[in-house]
Parts: sequence; C-alpha cells; structure tokens
Amino acid sequence: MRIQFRVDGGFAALPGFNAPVSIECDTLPPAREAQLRDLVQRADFFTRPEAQAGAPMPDARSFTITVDDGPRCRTMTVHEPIGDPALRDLVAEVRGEARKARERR
Amino acid sequence: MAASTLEAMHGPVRCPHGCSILPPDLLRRIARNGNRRQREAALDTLGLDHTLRASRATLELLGGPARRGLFGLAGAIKQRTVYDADHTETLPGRVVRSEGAAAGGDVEVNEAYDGLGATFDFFAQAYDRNSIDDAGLHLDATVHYGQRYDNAFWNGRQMVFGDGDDDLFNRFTISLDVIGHELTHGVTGDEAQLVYLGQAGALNESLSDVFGSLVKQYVRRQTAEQADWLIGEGLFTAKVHGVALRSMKAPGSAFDDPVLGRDPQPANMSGYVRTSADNGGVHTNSGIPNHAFYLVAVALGGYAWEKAGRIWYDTLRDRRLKPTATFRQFARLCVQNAEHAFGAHERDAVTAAWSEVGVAADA
Repeated sequence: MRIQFRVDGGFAALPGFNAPVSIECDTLPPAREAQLRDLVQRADFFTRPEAQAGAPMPDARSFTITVDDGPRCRTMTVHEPIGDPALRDLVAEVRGEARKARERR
Repeated sequence: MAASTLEAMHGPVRCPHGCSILPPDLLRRIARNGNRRQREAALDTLGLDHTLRASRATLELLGGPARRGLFGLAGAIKQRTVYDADHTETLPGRVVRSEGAAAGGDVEVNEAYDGLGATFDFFAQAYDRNSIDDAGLHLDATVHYGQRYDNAFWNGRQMVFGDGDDDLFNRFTISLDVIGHELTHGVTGDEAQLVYLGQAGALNESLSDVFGSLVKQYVRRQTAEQADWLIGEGLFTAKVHGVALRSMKAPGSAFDDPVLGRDPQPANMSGYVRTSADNGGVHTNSGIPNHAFYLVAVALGGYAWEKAGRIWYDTLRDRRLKPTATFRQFARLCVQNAEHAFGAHERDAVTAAWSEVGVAADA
C-alpha cells in the first residue's frame, strides 16, 4: 500500500514543509503498516462519499490523501475542521508518517 | 437540491471551491420573495456561507432580531469568552474565562483573552469600530484545540488555537499579531467579503497581517520605524532557523530552515507565484500587498495606524471594493482614499509604494 499526502494552506502555509510526500507502507514495520491499513479501513476511505466543501475558512488547512492499494486507488481531500473521528485519526497518523518520511529525505 | 433550485433560477451558484457565487443580498431577496422551495434553497445556500454577514442574513430571515439575539447589544463594551477544547476538536468547548474574570494559571487562556481585548480596543480606539462586525459582536476563542495541533483559524464565528506540535511550532496564542490576524479575517468577512482565492485571497490574508501587526504596534506604542513588521514572532520553536512566519518589511527573509524550507513570499509582482496550492498562494503572494503597506507606513512615518492604517481600513470598508478585487483594483482605491482622507502627499506616497512592488495604482 502506498499513501501520498499533501497539506494545503494553514496560518503558517509553508510550501516546503507542505510538499507532497509518498509513504511506502510496505517498508514500515509490520505493526505500523497494519495500523495504517486499519485506519484506512475504519475511515471507510475507499467508499465514503467526499464531504461537500463549504467556503474556504481563512487559515484552515486541507489534506489531500491518495491511497493506492493494488486494485483500489482513491484520492480524497479533507478540510479542517474534520468532523469525522475516523477520518481525523487517519489524517493525524498519516501526517505523522509524512513528517518522518520528509525528515528522511 | 438547494443548488439545483437556484441554478434553475440563476445559473450555477457555487464556485469550484464551494463559496457562494450569489451575493447574500440576492439570496436574501430570493428567500424573502420566492416560493417555499426557493426560500428553502436560498436559506440552505446562505447557511453554507461561513461569513458573519451571511449568518446575520440567515437568522434575520428566520424571523428573529438576529443581531441582537445572536451577537448581543453590548455597545462598545468587550464581551470575551475563552473556551477550552481539552485537546478535542469539538467547538467551542467548555467556558474557562468570561469577560471580567480574573486571570488564571493557563497561559493560553490568558493570552487569548488579552489578545481578544487588545484587538477589540485597537479597532475601537483607532477606527471607532465596535468589534468585528461593528455591532458589538461577542468575541469567542477556543484554546487547546486538538492534539499537537499546529494551526490557528477563524471559522466564521470564532477563533481557534492549537497548542503547537512540541517540535517546530509553539502555541498559537503566543504571538499577539496572530490573534489580531485571525480576528481581522472576521472584519474582512463582514466588510469586503474578499474571496479566499488568488489575488483577492492574498489581499484577504494581507489585510489580516496588516491589522494584526498594527494591533501589536498599537499595544507597544511603536512607530513605523520602531516596529519589527514580523508576523508570528515566537511561533517557531528554537529548533527552527527563522525569526517569524512572515516579514512585511522584507518578505522572503523570515525563515530559512532545513525542514520547513525557505520563506517563499515575494515583495514584488515580478516574484508573483502562480500556483493552485493554498487557494492560489494566498499566504505567499500576500507578501506583495504586505510590503506595499510597510512602504507607505515608513514613508508617512509616525504611528502606522494613524495614516497608512486608516487608508487601508477605509479601503477595506469601501463599497467599491469587490469580493474578487485584484491588487491593482485595491491599490487604486487606496490611492483615492489616501487623497480623500489626507491629501496629495499621502496620495503620492501610496502610489509610489504600490509602484515599488510592481502594481500600477494610478488611473
């Protein structure tokens, strides 16, 4: 499974820090990969309808996540504030992995 | 259903970014004069618009004295409430400090309370403005939002502050100009409703930086020459190579860090960044109008809120300022308002400043 992640906007809005990051989940420790898979599943990532975006809130961020898992691939953009707890957990954990991946580069 | 009904009446009603294309005034007329289905559609669309003006319009149409009922009639008296989200993302959270209550031991709560007060006082004393909506809006802020939350935003009704991430970002209440910045988004939403996209979005961001900085200068009683013109000083932890998030004096120079990258702000139209990210680079290209304001403030000297700030404030409130305004349109109004409020010397200073950043402001 590969996850691509990008942050847009925010009060800080740092293009360098927000640049797209690709996370190769197969290279992570098995427990971590399983955790991310579980979060993707619990968020119902591949089938959930994308929430309608309202007018952009000043300084709120959006997070664009692509999950490529063999035959299934989907890109979804999630806007702050994130109401759904499962989606919020997924974004938080993917952000953490993205930061680590960015620091490894 | 709401969109399709209105589309049948007026064509497409929402832009790709979700913001309402039909102005609230038109939606109000539809809601007032249309049939039941049209009325419901208009109210639905108004309800999706996160601006104070739209909120007031919706509530007024629902039959109540909205301004009085929701926002209170506080005159020019501050009514602050600080909430604690207890590290959840549920708004507004529990009340932890109301107007007049003594300071407690929570730094974020006290900083938010004081920052709301400083911003209210600045707009009231410098521009005779009664709160964000000029109608005594109660000021609400939530602190301790989310887990290691490294952002602050204005949700159309209140401010939201994270505690930072314990790594690169400190708490977002640490910098007074950040608080002033967020509240100014409320003022802009109430007055000009600049769309948060492209040049209009960069102007929206810049106005928040301008008045956020002026709040800080007003509290410190600093002249244009004495001010640091930094936005977000103290927000970075010691790990970051940088002094602040943005510099109005020298856009592009605020930070240069191995992890965060380099401050991308241009100071001139020659460096204007064309991008689809960040709603068209609203936080990047705001460096251009930010620098124009700095140049005017320094050229005119003294306290920046007295002349430069007044010119920008008059322009923000100018009914000729369109929600989709470009830098050039904004600059031209600045020139006209400078002459109207002060005279030829100020008009020429404003024209020269915009010219220096690559924006032709003369007719």
